[in-house]
Amino acid sequence: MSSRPVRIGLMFSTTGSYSVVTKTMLNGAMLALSECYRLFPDLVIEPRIVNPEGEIRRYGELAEGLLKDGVRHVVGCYTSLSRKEVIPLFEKYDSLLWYPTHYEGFETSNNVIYTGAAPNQHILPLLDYMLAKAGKRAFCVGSNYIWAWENTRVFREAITIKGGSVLAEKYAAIGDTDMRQIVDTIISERPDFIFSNLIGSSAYAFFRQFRAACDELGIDQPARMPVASCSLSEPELEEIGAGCVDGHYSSSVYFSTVKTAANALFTDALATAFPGSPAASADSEAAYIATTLLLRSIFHTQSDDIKLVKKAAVRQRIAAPQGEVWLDPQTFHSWLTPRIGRSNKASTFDIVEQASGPVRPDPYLVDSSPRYTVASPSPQLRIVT
Amino acid sequence: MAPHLIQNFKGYHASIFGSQSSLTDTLESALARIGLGSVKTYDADAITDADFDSFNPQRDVLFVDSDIEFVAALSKSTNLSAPPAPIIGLVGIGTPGRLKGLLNIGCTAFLGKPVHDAAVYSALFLGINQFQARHEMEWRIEDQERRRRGRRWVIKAVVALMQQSAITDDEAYAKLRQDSMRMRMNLETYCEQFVMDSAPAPRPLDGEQLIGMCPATDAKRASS
Repeated sequence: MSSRPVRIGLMFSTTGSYSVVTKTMLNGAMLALSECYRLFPDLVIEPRIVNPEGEIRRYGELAEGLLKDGVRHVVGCYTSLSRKEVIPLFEKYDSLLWYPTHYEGFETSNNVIYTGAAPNQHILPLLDYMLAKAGKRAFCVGSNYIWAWENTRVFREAITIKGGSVLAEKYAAIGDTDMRQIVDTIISERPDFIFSNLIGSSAYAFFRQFRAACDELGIDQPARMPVASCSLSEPELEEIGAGCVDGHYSSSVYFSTVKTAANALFTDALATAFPGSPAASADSEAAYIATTLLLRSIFHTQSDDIKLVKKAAVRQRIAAPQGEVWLDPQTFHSWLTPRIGRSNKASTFDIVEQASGPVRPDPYLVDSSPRYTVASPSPQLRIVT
Repeated sequence: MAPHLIQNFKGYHASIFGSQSSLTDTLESALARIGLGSVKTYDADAITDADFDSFNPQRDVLFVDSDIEFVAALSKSTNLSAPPAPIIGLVGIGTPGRLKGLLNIGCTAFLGKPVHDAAVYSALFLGINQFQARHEMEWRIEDQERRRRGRRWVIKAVVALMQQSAITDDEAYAKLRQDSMRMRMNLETYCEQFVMDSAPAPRPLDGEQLIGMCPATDAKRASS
């Protein structure tokens, strides 16, 4: 291997409203880097770490700065808003964004590798589980942006087909922490469960205020109105805090409690490398997978040329902490193993269900959605003669 | 009621009328990701090979490059007022002349060249659903035209029922409407049948052959 350093970008908002998650993503990426140094000592990698601070404008500026400097590969972004902001830049500079988190789907790009879950790997398994265990009447809440809008739409269509219903949809601005109105509406509607797409500080405030309101009314919230989401992770449980952390459902391809040899090594290594940092999470694992795939592909091709790296990446099979992971050569999304976890008082998840093996990504829900959009059931018609 | 929107294009067949390999390659791989079953490409010389009558609007979608002489060829091969399937334009040179050509063949969405992967789903969604919406609208207009033509039977039936039952026009109309609903027929068809059933059997006059569309009129003529 040439000793010429290969520059890669790591772009994570380690400050800002959703930094609790993104700090762990950077940790995952850094762990993959240190493993790479050990495995491929001749490979010289120069990581360029940038922090957009959760500001959408900064994503564009920083990404363009990296790409203008000749960086061909960037692992980064958490929100869909930030990903959408930078994709045109990656297309312009013909570089690769390695996007390491679950998202709402309906996207493919020749300039993006997706290592987080697609909607058929998170929303649909969660819906099946909640319909079986909680009931058919759901209340949807979310942060007011594309992730929540699209997830809720997919959820609404799927639950309608299965005979359930969405009682209402409520959205809050990203970063909004006053959840009183939403909580009051939920309590008066008494749904069987809540499907939450709130992110960051809004999500933590919701969990606290909802539990407190239920406690005040003597309602056993986790049993009577559990909250289910596709983005709740271990570091966020720590953030929610004692007293209201347990009994929440999360659909994810990874939990820190997954029982694999690779996960034992992963969680130990993270704890050793980043003492005092939040626990391992799906996002830190996805960032670890993305960076590992990237570095191995660079090593195998002896180049950072994106065409060669992509070719090499689809040939990789990684024994990831969640189990075996590989890329689908058609969509450049990942084969991953869906799981449902229920949070406990120790701020981890008890895994209550999991797929038998990796599931093919279906970002456009080609194999998992009806041909036509599904309308909510109309009012019953009465024939008048 | 708004038609249901099509969101999953699995099983659709794409026909690309374009000859640049960079264009067709990108489009083919993007369409495969979205679940389209097969993609057939026609270059400029092979356009006559396309069997336009075999295109099914529920299954086919056409991509037409406006920069080559496909549009003119397609105009000759298809009925302009009714494109054989949804058409998505591939636009490089966006001049009024080129765009007008696409409009004339019934194009309902477009993709700019070079084609961006991420834009293909949006173009399919808009192009196919706009095509369906246009069909739905044409069907509604046709239905309204049919009903408009049938109003004369409604007037005749109201008058006949007023005379038969000594009731007001409002009462006659309400009864016809109620009876048509009970018979699960639209009002115009029911009224036509009512008038024909109510009319006395036509009796030809000596040496006269009755020719007419409306038995009631014919009957009146016969009795006068």
